[in-house]
Amino acid sequence: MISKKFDPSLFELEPTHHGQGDEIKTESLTFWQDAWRRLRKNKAALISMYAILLLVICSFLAPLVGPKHENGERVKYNQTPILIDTETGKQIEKSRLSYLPPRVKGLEKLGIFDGTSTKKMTTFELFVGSSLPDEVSALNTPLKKAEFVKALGVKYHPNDYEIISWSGKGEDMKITIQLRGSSSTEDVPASELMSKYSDYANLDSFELDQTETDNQGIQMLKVKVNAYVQKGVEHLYFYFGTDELGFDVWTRLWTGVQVSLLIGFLSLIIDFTLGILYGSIAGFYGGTVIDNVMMRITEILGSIPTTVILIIFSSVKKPFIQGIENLFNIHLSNVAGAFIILIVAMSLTGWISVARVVRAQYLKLKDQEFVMAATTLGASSPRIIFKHLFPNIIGQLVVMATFSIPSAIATEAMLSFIGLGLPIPMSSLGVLLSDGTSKMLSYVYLMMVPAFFMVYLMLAINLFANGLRDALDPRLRGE
Amino acid sequence: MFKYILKRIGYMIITLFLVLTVNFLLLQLIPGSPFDGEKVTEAQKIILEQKYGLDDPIPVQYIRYMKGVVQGDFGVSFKLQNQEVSDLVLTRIPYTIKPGALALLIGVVVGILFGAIAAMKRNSWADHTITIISVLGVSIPSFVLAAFLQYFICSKLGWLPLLYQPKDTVRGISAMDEFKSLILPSISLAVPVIASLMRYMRSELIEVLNTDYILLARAKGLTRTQVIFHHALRNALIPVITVVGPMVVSIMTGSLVIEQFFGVPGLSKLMLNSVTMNDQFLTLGIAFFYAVLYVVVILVIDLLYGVIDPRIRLTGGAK
Amino acid sequence: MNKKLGGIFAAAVCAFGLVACSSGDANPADSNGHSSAGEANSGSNVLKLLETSNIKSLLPWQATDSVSFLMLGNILEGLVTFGENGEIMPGVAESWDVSEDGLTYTFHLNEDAKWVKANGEEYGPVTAHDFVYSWNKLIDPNTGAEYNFMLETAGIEGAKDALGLASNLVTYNTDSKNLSSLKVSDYKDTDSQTAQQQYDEAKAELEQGIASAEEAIKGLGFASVEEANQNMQQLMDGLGFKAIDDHTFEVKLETPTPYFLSLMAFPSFYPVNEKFVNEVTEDKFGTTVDNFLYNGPFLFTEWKISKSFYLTKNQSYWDAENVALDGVDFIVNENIDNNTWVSLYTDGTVMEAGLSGTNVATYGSRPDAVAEGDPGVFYLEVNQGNGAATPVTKLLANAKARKALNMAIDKSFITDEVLVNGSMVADYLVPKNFAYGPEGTSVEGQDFRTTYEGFNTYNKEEAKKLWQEAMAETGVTGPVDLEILIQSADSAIKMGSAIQNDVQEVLGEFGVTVTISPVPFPEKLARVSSGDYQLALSGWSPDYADPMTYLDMFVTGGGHNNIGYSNAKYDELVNSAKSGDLATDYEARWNALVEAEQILIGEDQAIIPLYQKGTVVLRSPKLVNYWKQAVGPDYFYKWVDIQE
Repeated sequence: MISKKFDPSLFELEPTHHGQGDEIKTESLTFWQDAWRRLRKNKAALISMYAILLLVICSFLAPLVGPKHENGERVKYNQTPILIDTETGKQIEKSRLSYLPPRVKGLEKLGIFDGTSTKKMTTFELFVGSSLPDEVSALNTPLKKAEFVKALGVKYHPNDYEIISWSGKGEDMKITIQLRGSSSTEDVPASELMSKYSDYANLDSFELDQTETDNQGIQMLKVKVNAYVQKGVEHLYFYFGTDELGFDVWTRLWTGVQVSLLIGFLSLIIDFTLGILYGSIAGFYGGTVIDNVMMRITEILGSIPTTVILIIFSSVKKPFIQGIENLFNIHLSNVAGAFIILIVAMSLTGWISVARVVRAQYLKLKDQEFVMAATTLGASSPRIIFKHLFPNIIGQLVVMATFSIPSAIATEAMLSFIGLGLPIPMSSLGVLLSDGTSKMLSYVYLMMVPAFFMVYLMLAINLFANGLRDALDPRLRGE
Repeated sequence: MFKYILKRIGYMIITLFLVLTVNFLLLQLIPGSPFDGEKVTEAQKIILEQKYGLDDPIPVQYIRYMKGVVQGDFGVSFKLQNQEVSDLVLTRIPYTIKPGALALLIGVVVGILFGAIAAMKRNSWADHTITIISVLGVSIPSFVLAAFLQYFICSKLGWLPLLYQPKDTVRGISAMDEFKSLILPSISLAVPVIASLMRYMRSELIEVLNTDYILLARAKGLTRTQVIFHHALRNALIPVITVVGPMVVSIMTGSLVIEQFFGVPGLSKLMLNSVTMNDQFLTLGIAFFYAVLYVVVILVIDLLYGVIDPRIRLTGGAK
Repeated sequence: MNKKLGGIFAAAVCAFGLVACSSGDANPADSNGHSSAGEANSGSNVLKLLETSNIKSLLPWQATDSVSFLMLGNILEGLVTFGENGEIMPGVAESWDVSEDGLTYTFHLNEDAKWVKANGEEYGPVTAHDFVYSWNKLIDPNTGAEYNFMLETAGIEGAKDALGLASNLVTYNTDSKNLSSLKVSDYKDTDSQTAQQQYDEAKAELEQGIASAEEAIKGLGFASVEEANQNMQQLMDGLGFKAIDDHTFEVKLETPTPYFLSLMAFPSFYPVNEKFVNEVTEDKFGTTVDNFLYNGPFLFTEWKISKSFYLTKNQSYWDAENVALDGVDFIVNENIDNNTWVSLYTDGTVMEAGLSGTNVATYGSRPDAVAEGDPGVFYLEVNQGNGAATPVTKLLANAKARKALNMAIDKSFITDEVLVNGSMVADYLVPKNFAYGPEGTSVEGQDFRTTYEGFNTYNKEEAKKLWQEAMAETGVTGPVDLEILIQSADSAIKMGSAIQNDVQEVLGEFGVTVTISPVPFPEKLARVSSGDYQLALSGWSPDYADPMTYLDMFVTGGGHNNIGYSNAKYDELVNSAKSGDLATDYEARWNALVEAEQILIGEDQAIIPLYQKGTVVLRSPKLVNYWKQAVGPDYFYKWVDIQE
């Protein structure tokens, strides 16, 4: 057995420092600091947060690069630009500014945002059009067909042939047609089929894309049209296009984003303030008469259809708005009035689900031991509710809050769709979407633009809140 | 338990009574008469109002209406002359319920299943995919989704019919055709349900899986599957069930739009028209139906609580 | 618990339980299908259509909407009907005599005209008594028929007095009732008025209403209101129509009415068999296909609410050999989207599709697209003196201000870009292609619009000038916020936005702002009739093919004059054309109406006309003799045929 001699200096006593035994080496963190630390670690949440901020900033800054009137003023979301045609010196008619597809300088060379769109139309519309002078359109009867064709200056009446194929572009465009009742085909230069009255008389303004014949035996064309060339406004650029009234979608969109976000946040605040208070009280007194009465009230409110409430509300809006005006001593515009009615009506039932979830959570938690301990130690009811129970349901509430913003925005969109939301020409993502959806088949950009930003916004808010939930849940602390 | 249910049904009837009262009073606030029309003269309007008793004081009207309801008479529509409200509503209920029920079924099953998968395989590709799908699901309004589905699946691909086709043997429409035409409306209605249930299920299950008793169960040697099925799922389902009730209502609200897209002859148009045209008894009848639906759903959910979580003592049940 | 109440409960429970519910065949209103519909479906000559509304009423005296009229026009038949080219043809009446003075019409009814039940069983002949019964129903105050004014419009003797008395009695009774229940305590003091003042005002108003009603009643030859109440029936019995015998029906007119015969094809004048109504009880009459009796070219054999209608050819119809169709099959869908409807048409499921929205531009120039004229005219009502005066109404009471607004609106933008459905710009009230000069005058066959094509057309510079003048004349300065009341519907709101945009562009420099208030239809009507509005988007569709249906709207105190317009010259012209000296001189009457419109729109710009409605439909080229009527039922299927 080998014995070893230890150096006694290794066993020297460390001097005791009183009060420093349990010193925490890192800085002490509050609940929210800790949550923030963990949120920063979550890449998706962080990116989403910046994405939301970016959108909010854009919604204020982006309109500044939108179109201007001739006099240099910014075009508002409910105005058609007033512009002067340099050639004629007259104001450009509103009809020439309506339904222009998105077009962005620079990008148009890449073949996107180049002001073209694919339109479904008849052969008649393409080659003859609807803006014939009266004396010509008077000839458009079966008996005077020959005269009509002559007046149009075309080779055949557009209803007399079907288009088989085509080649070339612009002036060189050649179209292979088959006359009705004949089996042979014929190659005709497009210029010989095109009447001078057509909206598409400029052969550079369109390209044929596809043809289809339906069960009624009528051929429809799909034509790629450059509306800017066709309407003679080639010098203009509308980033997101214009709608049928000639309103600039870019300006309307950013206004709409602001409005939708405001709707989301306002209804979140109202719903949660009411819902948490109500749910906490009901849940804490769970099973007693108070709880029962409170829950019956939510049932009654929840079972009145939102549409009924909205219509009744918008009907009594005059006295209601006057009441608010008197209360706060302010003057509200019609627009603000419509907005307030919408928010209040949505919140009238919106808080119920929050209250029910809060109550259910309290029912689950209130019999648990830590509550009993707090009660035994003499904590008051409000203290138990807000100090002991509430932190335990914050995770759940954040998940709910996440949903409440998108669902408020979506509810607004649905209400717009059935004609009970904000009225046009006001703008919100919902108004733009419901208007765009109805024109989806003809003007897809009117739907795609708001749909993209709606999904972008929802995705960002949801991912951010996802991260927030993980960061806030006390039981995941220190994980 | 039986006593408890009886008591709850008693509450339900009181609730329904109050709902009708509140609705009745609210509808009195709507300006304009149901008999207004561009060509109606003041005298004709008064005659019609007398005929339907609308010139009586509101308490008299209210008592008369409530008496009728107790006897099962919901009155007649003012706008659709000679049609009883109960006939009008009952004819349309099946068409609102069919896609709605199918949507709820799809929504609950798919939502809970995928939510659970996401929670169990936390931070895996499956979890991320499900999260993104659920986020997208709540992000796209159902009418946009319906428009897309209709455009691509019906118009472009021609896989499913554009329009709802009620079974009609005379015109050669079979039950299968009807089912096919119900698929897209149901999916459009189900997507938001799937999305939110997935999220709730995921977050609840994660929370439960982090509790001590699950740790204990695992420590005792139970397998992961056993733990999830015997301990975790039950507890996670409680808050999830809470949100199913409001979802029934949100499906009903969603059907307002979806029915119009797919031409389902349900309650939506009837309701919109009746409210905007101030057709009071019809509005009340429809609102009553929604109220019945809602309170029944809430009752069933509360009963399910007791079944799933014995810790929640249902008042009355213990006595 | 009652069965129906139980039904709602059961349905709700069933919804939750995810039980597959059967499609509700147990429902009474849904089970009117007949096997005959199935048999007829196999027939080749079946017209397949889609209808977007349900029938509101099958009672001729109650029906007011286009679907009800369409059904009635094909399952019932009036004294006359319209032929293939719109000419008046014998209906139930095989011939008729008109007296020299044009005041007495004697109709000789076709003895082959029969009442038929839905199952095809003959019930009995159509007699003159059936017309008397139905017309009496129309005018009976207890029916409260919206279209009872049609009897007055047709100029039937005594109708005007009877309707006037009925309406005055109602005013008298209601006002008296309200007066007796009026209490000071119902009012509260406000800043401007005390409760007592308000009470006195309301009381004075009611008393005035009672006094004027009483005066009007006495004017009709009654000594007192009580006597009038008792003698109401006497007035009803004295109306100018009676059954001479079973097959002779006589109508006496107060004034010669140029369009009287064509009105006899209007559904309000269709016959109804009293015996049958009593058999099925009045409450049940017309609620199912079996509880109805038919005398038209078609029988209503299937009525599934929101699902389908089926009309089967009536084999017992007197002119059955000239009815080419075996049946008309309707898909009924209130919720259909226009794109879906067009797809149903292009894939051949239905033979016609209405176009709306962007589809009009896309499909409107197809060879199978048909533009159907529609005489409806839409305009902005301008409140110039209805209700309390405000600075804005003071301004709007100035004709120059109204003209300025009219000239500031680019109406062609609304028709070409917003509506795009073949609607025409209207700078007038009486529509184009609607009323033609009466026979035997120098203006015979001439469109009413030939004299004046329109008034006060779009002119931005002139608008600015006029507005400035109006401001100077009325002394109104500072910002003016105009509110346009519209019905909450997509197209109306879009139109409102376009008007807002135009007016603000042109008159914005004078501080004019425009807001749009979309409200539900009844609320809009209520606010317009009580004068609680500034501008309101409204429309009018004609009841008979004469300019009068438009021009008598705005006479002082007229029932539809909600704008508070009053012009003595205009009143005089319209009244004398209606029942005064000019009523019998067709040419002078015509000229008076032309002049009345010139005063109403051209000089006074009482309203701001916007557009004349147009519709475009896709219709299978196989259909022959299928065209839309200007008034009454939209289509008569009697002459329609399908050619392969």
